Amino acid sequence: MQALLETLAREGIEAEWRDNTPLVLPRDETEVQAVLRRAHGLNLRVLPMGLGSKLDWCRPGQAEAADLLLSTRHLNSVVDHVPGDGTLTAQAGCTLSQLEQRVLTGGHRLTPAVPNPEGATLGGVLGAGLSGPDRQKRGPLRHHVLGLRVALPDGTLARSGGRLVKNVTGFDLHRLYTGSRGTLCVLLEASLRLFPRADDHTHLVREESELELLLQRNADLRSLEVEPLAWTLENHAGPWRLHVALEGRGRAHAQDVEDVRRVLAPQRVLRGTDADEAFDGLRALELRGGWGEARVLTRHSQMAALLRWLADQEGLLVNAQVGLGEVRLHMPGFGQAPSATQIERLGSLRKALTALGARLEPRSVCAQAHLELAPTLADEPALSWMFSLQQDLDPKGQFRSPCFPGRQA
Amino acid sequence: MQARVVSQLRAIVGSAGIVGDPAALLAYESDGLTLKRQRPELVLLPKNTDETARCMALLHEHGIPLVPRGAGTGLSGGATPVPHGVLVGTARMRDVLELNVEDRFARVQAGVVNVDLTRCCDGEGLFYAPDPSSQMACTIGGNVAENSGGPHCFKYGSTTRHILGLVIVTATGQVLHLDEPEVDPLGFDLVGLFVGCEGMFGVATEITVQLTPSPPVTETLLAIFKALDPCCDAVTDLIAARLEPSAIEILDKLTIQAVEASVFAAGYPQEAEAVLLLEIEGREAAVEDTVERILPILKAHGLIEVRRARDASERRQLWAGRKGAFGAMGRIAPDLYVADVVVPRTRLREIVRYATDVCTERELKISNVFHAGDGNLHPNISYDRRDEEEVRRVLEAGDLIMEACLEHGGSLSGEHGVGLEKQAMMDRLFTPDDLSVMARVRHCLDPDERLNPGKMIPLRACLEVRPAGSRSSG
Repeated sequence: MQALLETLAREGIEAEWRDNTPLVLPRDETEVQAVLRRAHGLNLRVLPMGLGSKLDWCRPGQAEAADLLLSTRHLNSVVDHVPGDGTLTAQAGCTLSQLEQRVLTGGHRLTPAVPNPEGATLGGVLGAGLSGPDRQKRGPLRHHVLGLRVALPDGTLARSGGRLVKNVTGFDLHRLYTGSRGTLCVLLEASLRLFPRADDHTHLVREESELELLLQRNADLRSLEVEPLAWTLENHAGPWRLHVALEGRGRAHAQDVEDVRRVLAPQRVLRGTDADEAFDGLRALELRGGWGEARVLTRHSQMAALLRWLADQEGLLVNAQVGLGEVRLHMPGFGQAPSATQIERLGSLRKALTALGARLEPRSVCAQAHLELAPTLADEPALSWMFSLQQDLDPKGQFRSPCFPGRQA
Repeated sequence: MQARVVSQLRAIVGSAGIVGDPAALLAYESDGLTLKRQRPELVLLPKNTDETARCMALLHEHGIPLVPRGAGTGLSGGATPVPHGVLVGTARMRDVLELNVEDRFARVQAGVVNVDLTRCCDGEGLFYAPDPSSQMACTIGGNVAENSGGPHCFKYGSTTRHILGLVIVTATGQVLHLDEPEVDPLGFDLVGLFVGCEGMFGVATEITVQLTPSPPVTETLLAIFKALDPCCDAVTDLIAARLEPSAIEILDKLTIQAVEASVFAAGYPQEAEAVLLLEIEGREAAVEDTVERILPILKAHGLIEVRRARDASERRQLWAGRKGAFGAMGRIAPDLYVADVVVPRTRLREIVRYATDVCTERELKISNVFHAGDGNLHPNISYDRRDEEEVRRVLEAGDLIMEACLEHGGSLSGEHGVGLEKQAMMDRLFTPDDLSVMARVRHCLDPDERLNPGKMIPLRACLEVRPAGSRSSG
């Protein structure tokens, strides 16, 4: 390993140590290619990463098992920003914060609105398939990736899609790579669709000590003709809070606010920068250092029953994107070193949720808990296709995780 | 094909599900790309997933290539049969299997016609958003294979954004159930990968689609311009102003005249050089606000007049004209070459102008009707395929237009797919490594390349671009 690092150093490729594992920091695609070719020749296990904020839930245990960490954080240039076309192409190491500021100059917003955008790279967000509270209006990130450039384990550089808002030329391999959690390729560059920045923002909140007191209002919101930017039900501060974030312009925005106000009867209505701060607060709900994190997915029609059940469980923090059928759970004590009893409880939680018609996906939990909870696909042929794709793009298993896409090692 | 195999296939699909009569097979020789024709050995029309799987397993056993086909409305040759191959059509898979209003999705068989799905939701306050011009005939399965678009994809996105789950049958006859109607895929996004695969990964037999709430208010505007160039520029400025109608379509003079002379006559002004068809959807105040912001931009580009659809009937008529435009072109010449290219929306005017010049120089009749808001151009060249010299000029013009798009940062297809038509141009857009990765992904599901062989990925010296050592002869 030392010899490899010395070779890379001679080639001018920066490297440092992170928890006893070498971390290489290439500055351009050629350097990424050089690192991967050498690693491929030496059969080294490589862990692609951005700033490393999701290492604990993308590939639990793999950070320690990797021979080499490869961060794209120094590939941090905006390649092409065309406000007139509403598109942005940037290298994977750009932070979301950097890109958000850039597109704002053209009157646009970026999705997803992730927590801590200063600490999240574009490549990391794409690889992890992240979404934020704005998904309610904008949809999942994978719908807005126009094209990707990637490096395969042997150093081959390949592209799919392009920089255009509409394009069906060739297979949509960027859909395969987005959310593949570093198991297929190193993401190098992405082109994204941008969204017009709205003039007016309003954030409405109703708080109740009992979930039940919010569920009817929640159901009534769905019957409105309003299209919220975010629609979240959470209990992170103790009581249950139902948030509706709206964006728009002038009279139309006022009409939306009035309709939501009528149904929600909010205790707080925040506007302008106060609304922006409240929205940032929703983004930040994701950040819970030391807590285990999982995601529960269900259909919208099952959401009220799911929330009632979760409210009866002890010590769970709930952050539900109610319009989408998605709940993010924070679980105290399930971070790095849960006890056997706690892991057993996780297993019971998963079983109970399955009975409720919901699917539990572990995220930020220790490797042992992850293996306990690793979702399995009921349909074996689909899983076989996934493994076949992994095998074909990464025949030596350099990037392969034992926990993804869904079968235990 | 061996009589024994035909007999076994007949036993699976029944007599109504098999077409072998040479005269009847004529109807399947091509899709909408009539320049490319090949008579299939046989057409199979299974009724469900099970029959499809059994047929495909049998074809696999005998090494017989096959081409999936929906309604055959595709325009890139994606459903053109291959020599000694079988067509597997979805024409008898017409059932809506589930309509879930509360969770806003529908599960349908692949042969359900696009417009029938929306009709099925009528009254529930929901609709299926992708609306290709051929939506009166094209199928959801075909839309999935080609990742079809349509005018309203400017707001709602192409087919891929609306597909929640799939049941597919692979080349070997294996059945894959991909995802439930939940928010995210478990593992890789195989559904996203499959959509737009042009029939090269498998045959989709059942499809779960997202349904969209119907907009409370719809405003349809017909903006009349004295020239095509400023009409294009107006669209570029609408996009730059970050306005969000749901559809932005341009029709030029020749198209208008063809439409007005046809059964699709929509009341477009025949003296206009170009019209812009705009639709704005949403709540009343938002629609009014958007219209107020659109009008000054149109006026700045020489707008002659703007007409508003007064009711749903007028709106339908305006859209019938737009969607019937390709059919109406039959009045100009017996055949129509529908180009499908995309450019950045900042480059609309120059590419439209270039396409016109290229055709004029070659004495070809060009008409333009296109999804301007997405930068998705359809320069349409009318011709007579019996005139070989004219066919040569049509293909030459098509290639030049595609090359110009690529030079301006554009792409080969916005919604029709690559198929046979654009296969030879793929290496102008992608590197050998790009194409090789596509071929490798394809090989994961179809290592023998029996599914829609010879499409999309270009051939080089009889060898499809593929990873070294994977196969040595073609």
